[in-house]
Amino acid sequence: MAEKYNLTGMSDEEAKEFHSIFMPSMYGWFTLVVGAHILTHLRFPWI
Amino acid sequence: MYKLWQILDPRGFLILIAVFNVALGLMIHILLLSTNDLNWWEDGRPTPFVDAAKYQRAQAGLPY
Repeated sequence: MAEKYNLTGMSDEEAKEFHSIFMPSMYGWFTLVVGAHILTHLRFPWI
Repeated sequence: MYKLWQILDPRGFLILIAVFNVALGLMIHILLLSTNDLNWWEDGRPTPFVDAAKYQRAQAGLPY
């Protein structure tokens, strides 16, 4: 299905390049958020 | 999975994520500060004065 629809005009290489930056950034953000919640819960436990 | 970016515009998606995260963060902070239990500004728990705060909470009859 994705092969048929290229709405953004990105080539495979461009999409792969963006994806290779986007995914680690997303996981880095999730790690940061989980760490912040752990620290906050240590100081102000809410459950 | 990378083919997602041939369907969704990366620039628009990044802007959407930024706006969503800022809105979510502001909403949760305002929500928590509006409660009695989870307001960290007015709970008498200043970090550098843990013992003093503990004493004050005990005097006020607070359970935590």
